[in-house]
Amino acid sequence: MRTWNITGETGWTELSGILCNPMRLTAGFGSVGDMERLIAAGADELFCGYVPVSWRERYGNAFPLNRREVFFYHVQIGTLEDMKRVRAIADRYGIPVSVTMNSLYYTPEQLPILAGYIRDLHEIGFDRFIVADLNLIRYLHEQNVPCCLHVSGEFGELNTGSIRLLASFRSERCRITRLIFHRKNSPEAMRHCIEYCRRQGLTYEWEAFFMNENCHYTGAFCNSLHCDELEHICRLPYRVVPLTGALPGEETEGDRTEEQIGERTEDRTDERTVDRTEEREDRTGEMPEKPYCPGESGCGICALEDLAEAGIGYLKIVGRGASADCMEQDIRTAKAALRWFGEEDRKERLFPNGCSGNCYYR
Amino acid sequence: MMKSDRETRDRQWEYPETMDQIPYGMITCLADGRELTVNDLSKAHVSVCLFELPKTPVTEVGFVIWDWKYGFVRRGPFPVTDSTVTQEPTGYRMVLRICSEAYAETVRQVADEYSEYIRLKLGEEGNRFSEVLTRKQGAGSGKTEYYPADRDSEFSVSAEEWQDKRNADRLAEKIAAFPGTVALDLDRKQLWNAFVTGNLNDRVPPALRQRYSRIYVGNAFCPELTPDDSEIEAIIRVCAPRERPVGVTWVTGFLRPGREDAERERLRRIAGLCRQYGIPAEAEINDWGYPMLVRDLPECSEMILSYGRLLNKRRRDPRQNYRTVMPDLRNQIGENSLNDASFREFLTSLGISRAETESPGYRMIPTGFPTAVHVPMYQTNTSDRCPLRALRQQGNREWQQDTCGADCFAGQAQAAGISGTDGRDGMTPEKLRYCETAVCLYPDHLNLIGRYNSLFAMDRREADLYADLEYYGRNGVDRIVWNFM
Repeated sequence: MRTWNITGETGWTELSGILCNPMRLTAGFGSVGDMERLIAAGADELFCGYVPVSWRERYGNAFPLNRREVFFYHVQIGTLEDMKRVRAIADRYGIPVSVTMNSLYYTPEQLPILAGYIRDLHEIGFDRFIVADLNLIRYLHEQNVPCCLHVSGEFGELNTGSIRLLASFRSERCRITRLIFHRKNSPEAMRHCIEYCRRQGLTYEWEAFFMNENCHYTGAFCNSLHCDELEHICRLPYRVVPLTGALPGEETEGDRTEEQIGERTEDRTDERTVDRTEEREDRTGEMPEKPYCPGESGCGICALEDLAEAGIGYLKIVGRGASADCMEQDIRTAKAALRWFGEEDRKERLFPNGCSGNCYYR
Repeated sequence: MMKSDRETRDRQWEYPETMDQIPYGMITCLADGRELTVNDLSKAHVSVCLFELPKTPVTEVGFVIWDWKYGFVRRGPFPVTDSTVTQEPTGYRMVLRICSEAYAETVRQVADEYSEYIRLKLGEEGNRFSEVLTRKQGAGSGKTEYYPADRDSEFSVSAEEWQDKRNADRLAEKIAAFPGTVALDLDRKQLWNAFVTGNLNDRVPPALRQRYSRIYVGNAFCPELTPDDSEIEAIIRVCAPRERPVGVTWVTGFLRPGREDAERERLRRIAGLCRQYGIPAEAEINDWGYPMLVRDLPECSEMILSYGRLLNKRRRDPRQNYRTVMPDLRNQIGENSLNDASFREFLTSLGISRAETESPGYRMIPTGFPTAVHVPMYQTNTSDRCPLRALRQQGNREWQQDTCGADCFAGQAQAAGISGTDGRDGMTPEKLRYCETAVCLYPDHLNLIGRYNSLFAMDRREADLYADLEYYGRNGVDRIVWNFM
């Protein structure tokens, strides 16, 4: 049994005999019809994107409102009328819903438009918004737009310096309430930031990625396109070749033995790209046929105790645009992981056929 | 429509009488002064979801649909012949019946687009879908470029061939004529060590060898690729005032949590050495944590901070030009946060007085900040961990373990208090500098290359790039920085 170094603070609870921060699941959805299924499966919170007609007509697929300039998938709520329905469902079940506006940057023209959307949504009961662009954070504070901000994992690196900068934004009606770690932070790095905030008396909620959509690259540093008509850049075919042309006296790969460098020139696509059809069918709701494998595209389940110990209170299950079937099963899996918190045979019980090995936090 | 055309269309009409589950972006209904999500539709009806009942009977509807050539376009209004409303747990469902050939044509267009998209995505090999869809965007507009999927199998056989095909000497000659400062981006150990030993000119295009007056040292994208203490001092010694003084900009990457103290110390040492040798201290910062770190250091009070390339975000993808951008957005594509005067004031309040950017394959709109433009390579993607290392060690980029710094560079790892030896395969740090020995090449037409933890593309527009550089020179860009492939 592990030793848990957690101090008794208000809000801490007991899971499997271990005192820790009560962890809640926050899951993404791409259409109103999926909400109740995800709530029934055990989601404690939900998040969605909202891209109204006015944005689509003005910016087409040139400027994403929240990182996904796609129109041929169910990844966004597209009308205020539907957001009212989202609100009604959320209220019926007492489930908080956040709205994501987390593009890496916006142009000056777009900031007041976004503030207008936030005000529209605030009027019908939404008060939590996920943002990544520091200029948008600055603008919303400056304009005192009523909202609670969750700083997205796409913001960039959370460290004691950037947290101090975020903490400097204060206005009467606009507050940063949650910080979200990106997928490539280690639990140790999260603990470092959370403990710093505790020492400084900064009270934030902390969220970490828990399942799905791992990527070779970091979202905050990804400036490439995510659109309907082009493949994601991280899925393009590539070839690994030795680097030549070194300066005199330098060792190059050509100087090393085969054993030292492994294969030489090789053609590759990553495993995810090899059979694109199979992947799409699985994740987009078009004829899922493969057996379900929890966290196949990214998983942090084995790090659950480390995340709890670090002080993470919210576990993100991403997958706006994934099939509701997959999301529902992911939430049930994550719920089971929480139920079996600290139990040594959890992995065998959750992954009877073996896991994908696609770890966020390994 | 000609009869034969219609017959062709009808043959394509293989969808069920009613289509449902239509993605949000393909079609939206406009009725009763509201934007409404389409639940299902056919050539004779549309069913929509409402939260509240309409105030008056709906007599006509319009639609906003996606069109590859024109973006979002409006269709209608179409007269409604009949409607029924049923209550649902959250709101109402309204079925509107429409008898209109123009409406039926709108539905057919949506169905065709969606059906084609699904067919292309599921049925076509490779990136053929990109070729078809980008060709559709340009149809009739005179635009001839589309994604050449058949060239996705054409690769250079070596990194050397990749470089040779992209001989950038002509661009270097243009840069040499730039009226402002010309700088070199020494982003890896071999380059800054070559600078110290006087061997750098072997790598510098002939036109720039006597032209550069500043160097950038360190890596904006990989925080492990930074000079150690002895290298910093050696570089400063070479740059110190002499016959031909060379300015230095110290480049910092993103700041890993836990490394703040080490990085604070490094900045302090750099500032101290710069002062000792009479060199102005300047740093390109690529993390929001740095302004606060520098604020803590009285030694760095005179350090010039430049808003770095990782922070200065914009669309950077070599395939950008295969897409059609609506004419009224073409200027705005060149803008980003830095075009906002209030944001520039905010940066100034943080002590940031300059900016770095890269030529991303299209013209950027000047910002009012003194700016350095890095050419010809621009970053598209970067990882906190090292995909190249994961690939070489594990055969898959996705399984990235730990941070590259754990074993790429022993000195960095030691500074971070991390064990310098990888226990999994017993290799020592010295043998694990994958970024010095291998790269990932992408299909040649993309001009894309994977180095260390990042992807970079090359701006190869030539004439347009020359024109852009001249334009930038007249509009606040005071430096061109040559980066090495």
